[in-house]
Amino acid sequence: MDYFVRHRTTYRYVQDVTQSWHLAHLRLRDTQHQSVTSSEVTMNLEPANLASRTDYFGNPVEWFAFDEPHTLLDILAESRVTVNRPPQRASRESLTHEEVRARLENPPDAEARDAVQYIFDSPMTGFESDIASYAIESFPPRRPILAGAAELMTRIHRDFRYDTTVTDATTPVDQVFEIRAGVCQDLAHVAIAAMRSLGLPARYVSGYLLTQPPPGKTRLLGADASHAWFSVWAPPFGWVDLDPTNDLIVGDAHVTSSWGRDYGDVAPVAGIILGGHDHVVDVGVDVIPA
Amino acid sequence: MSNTELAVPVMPHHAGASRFDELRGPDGMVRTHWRAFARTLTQLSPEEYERRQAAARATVQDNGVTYNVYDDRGGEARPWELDIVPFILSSADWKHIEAAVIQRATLTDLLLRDLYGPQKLLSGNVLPAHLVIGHPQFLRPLCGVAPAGGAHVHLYSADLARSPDGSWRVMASRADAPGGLGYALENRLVVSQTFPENFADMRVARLAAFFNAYRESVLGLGQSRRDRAVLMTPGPYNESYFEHVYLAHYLGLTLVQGDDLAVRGGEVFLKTLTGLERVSAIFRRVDSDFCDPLEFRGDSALGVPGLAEAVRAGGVVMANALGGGVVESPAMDAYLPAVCRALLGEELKIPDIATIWCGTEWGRKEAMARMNSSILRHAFDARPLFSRKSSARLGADLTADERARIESQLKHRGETLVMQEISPLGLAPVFEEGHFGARPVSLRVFAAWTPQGWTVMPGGLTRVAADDSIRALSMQSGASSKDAWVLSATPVDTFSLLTNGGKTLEIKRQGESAPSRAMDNLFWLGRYAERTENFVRILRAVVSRMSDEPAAALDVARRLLVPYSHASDSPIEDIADEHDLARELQIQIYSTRHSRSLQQLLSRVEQAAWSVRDRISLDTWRTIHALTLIDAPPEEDGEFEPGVARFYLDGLVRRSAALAGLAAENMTRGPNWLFLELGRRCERAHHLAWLVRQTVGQPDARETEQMRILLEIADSAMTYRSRYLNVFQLVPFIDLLLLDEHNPRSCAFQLAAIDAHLRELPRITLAQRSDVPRTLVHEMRAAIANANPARLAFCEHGMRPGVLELADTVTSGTTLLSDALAGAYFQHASRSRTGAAGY
Repeated sequence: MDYFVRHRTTYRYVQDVTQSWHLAHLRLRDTQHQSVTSSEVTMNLEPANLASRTDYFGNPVEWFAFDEPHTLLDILAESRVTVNRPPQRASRESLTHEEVRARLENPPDAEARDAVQYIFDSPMTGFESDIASYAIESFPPRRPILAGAAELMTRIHRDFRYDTTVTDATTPVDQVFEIRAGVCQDLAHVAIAAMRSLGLPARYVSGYLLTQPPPGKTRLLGADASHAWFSVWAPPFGWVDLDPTNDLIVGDAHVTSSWGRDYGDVAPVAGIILGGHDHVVDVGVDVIPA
Repeated sequence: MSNTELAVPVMPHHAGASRFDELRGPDGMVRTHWRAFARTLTQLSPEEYERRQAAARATVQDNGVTYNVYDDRGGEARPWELDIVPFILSSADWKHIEAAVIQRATLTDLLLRDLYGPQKLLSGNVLPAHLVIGHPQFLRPLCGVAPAGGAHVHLYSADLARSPDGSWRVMASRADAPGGLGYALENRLVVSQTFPENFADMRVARLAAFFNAYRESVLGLGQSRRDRAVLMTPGPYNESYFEHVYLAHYLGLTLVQGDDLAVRGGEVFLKTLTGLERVSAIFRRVDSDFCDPLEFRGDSALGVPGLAEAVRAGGVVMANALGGGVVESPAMDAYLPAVCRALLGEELKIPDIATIWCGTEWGRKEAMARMNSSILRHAFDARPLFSRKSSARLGADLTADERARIESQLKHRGETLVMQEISPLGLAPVFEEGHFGARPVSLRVFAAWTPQGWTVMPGGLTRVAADDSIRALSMQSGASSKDAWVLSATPVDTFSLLTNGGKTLEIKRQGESAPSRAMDNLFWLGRYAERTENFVRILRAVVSRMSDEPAAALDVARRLLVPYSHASDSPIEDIADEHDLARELQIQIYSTRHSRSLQQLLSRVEQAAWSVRDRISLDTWRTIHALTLIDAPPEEDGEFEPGVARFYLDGLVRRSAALAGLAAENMTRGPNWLFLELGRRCERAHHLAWLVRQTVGQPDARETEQMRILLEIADSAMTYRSRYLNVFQLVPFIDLLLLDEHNPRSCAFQLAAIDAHLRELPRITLAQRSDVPRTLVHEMRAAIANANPARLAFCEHGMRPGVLELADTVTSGTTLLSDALAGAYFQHASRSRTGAAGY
């Protein structure tokens, strides 16, 4: 599938922002199943400094700063991408979770070694509550890891309510786990924390989802949302993406932007501002089949 | 003399093992390197010894040496504990330690170079990747970034402990932002003065050359020696703030907090009164992950947004480079011998305490087998053992439930645990409660990077356990400290940092730059100090009249204690009788909880001073500290005793005067003095105008009495009497307190002084050139110059409109002036995070 993705972020500040610094994960990355034709970020202001780089996880990232007073910052990312995921895996053919643990304990290659970082708590997935007891129900002895992860995803979809009013970008996993509700970011974090509570590798994926329009209606621009899900390392298939918000193994309707240990590693736009007093953010995302 | 005269009791043994005795050999004889000092100790009477210990304690307190202890109720600064008996090391012992610490510092730098570079240790399976990419202090944004100047580590520390067999072990090491150097230096200063003869005779190695090497090596890496070098502290609330102040002073660095710095175009700048000054080197005492809220911990208020980018751009030398925390984990200890063989081709000269990482099958089996005799802790928990929030648990102490949880954690997440064996620490002599004893100690030693190789400070910070348990060695849990004396086989190098090695200094008439935050704090220090004196004088005027002139006391209290009147349930204007007044005063003077009490005000003075501790003299600091001391503070709900209160308030008036005098006579006329003075003058002008407004502005039958009391509060009674004898009239009174530029206690005098000071301020930025402050002062001065005595005296409906108008002009004018100065010179734009939730 070919897509055109437009992601627009607008900050309006009540007072002048005298200086600001930003980190943006807005361009799309190439993956095994996705090739990016073009991906560009433009802004309404000329930054005093701008650096485009690839971060530790291989995601494209922009660092930029402004040092002239401003009250409006408009960031537009536009990308063209082809997604071509392989047909769904037979989850019973993945290694068992015990075999995955053993492989991570003595990583035989660079891929396994890289996966090691995803078994540890990260800043936004640390937890105190007994998530392990919740998780272990899906991982009886010798179960293939992908089968366990898929069941965990289905249970989270069933047990947690999708609700955009109860959490924000910094809500801790423990709280989401307690109230059993949140948005896609929260559900992904719960799934990741659950996997890691058993020492199993899971990472956070940030991206976009094509929302199918109801039959007979035209697509509403801006109705599609920036999205997030999680991914498990399931040799021999490598990383397999699972979307607990929609209870599905990720297919061609998902466009990947970036991945990391949690939301904090790949937040679409993070910023520190001086002044400004208060601000509002508007985000609009369009994912249009091209 | 006999070697057995010094009675060192044998401590109860820990876990059945014996301990190393630093003082005596196995034969019971005092060890050679202790003999000279032991002789002194046996010659001193217990009284003399007690006297020296008390003198040392007084010096420590006077110097404001504290270690802030955090607990759930907030924070508390407590005096640094110092035992004056030094910890003595023979030159043979030291040679071994020195070589070992150099080896470890070298190794640590190479290790970091690999972890943030090619990671060959990971791909070559020398080091499990878990310990690095699983560590929360592994700062991914800095991977592939070579630090400016090349070195990752400029200062390294290791905590050494002596095993029962006399060999050394490393309990913890630091490569991110090692602490303790300043305390070690302070301990040395005090103890060398406590035993001056021994210090001179025993060839104790000196510390100054080490500090010089550390400073010069870092500065030498900066692009230009003319740029600023700063010491970055988390701020006055950090547990080690004292040492940051102390080190900045000793090393000649500007003390800054994150807010004082700004990153522009890949370079770091210091925000000063006169604009931005380039910073070439940062001596860092803020943990790496707090240093840039954009790329590391977003919740950090201590850092500088963009600092990581400046580091990537090579624009600033960080000492130490960011990211060193990744090698500080206990789990790393388990692999350091292998890393040492891989990187240096050597064995560790001093190994770490026995550590097993539970991320392997073998490690988990060992841990299960040894659990009862060991400590379990989180693999990445580098906090001192058993300090606050430490994850360490004694295996033997675990309940059945906890044990089950640990076993489950070992099964599923073994890589997050380590097991460590702790052997009992060696014993060193201490003096406590009037006699000698022995306590377990550890020694923190420091190494500094230089272009010629590592150099080790010949000495260190010796820490004394609070008791015999292994839980007792955290400074937070009440332990004490000692100086460490390294005996030299040859005459010692008496190089001093203070003599500059014979180089001729250029004459400078200006000190260091003036960061705007520090100027802000000095301004408020001036205001609070003056406010304290004003409040104390009003209180004293009330208290001293309570027995002889109760009606006058009540009247003054009702009129002048208004701003402080929320201490009791009813407004102070409604106070009915002396009994109520006494209750009110008890709270206003002694309450530590009430937000407008004298005690609260005093603590604000101390806090403001503490935050600019690097900019005020030791004597000034001591005077301010003395303001907050109160012997046996009465209970808030206790009986009010006017005599006691009077005595206390008199003391405060004297100490306030001493403080003002020190500032007037001893401070160089630079920005520090200027802002302190501006604060004081603003506050006093405001206060005088307000006093007049509250009394003769709304006159009644007691006016004559009020004038008399007001002159006493404003310390102008003598002047008035010399001019007008005992005849109290409104116009001369107003003239003296408001209009007379020759009276240092008049409004006019304050405004003239402010006017003169404002001319000294830089006028560089747009806000500074706008001249709002001067316009405001000129308006106030004009109002005073044009005041018409006849109009001032005019009275109708119990008011003097002329007096009220003039007083209001000054009170509102000074308030606006304070804001205008803040806008032009302090300008802290508040910093916030912006997210982008898009769901």
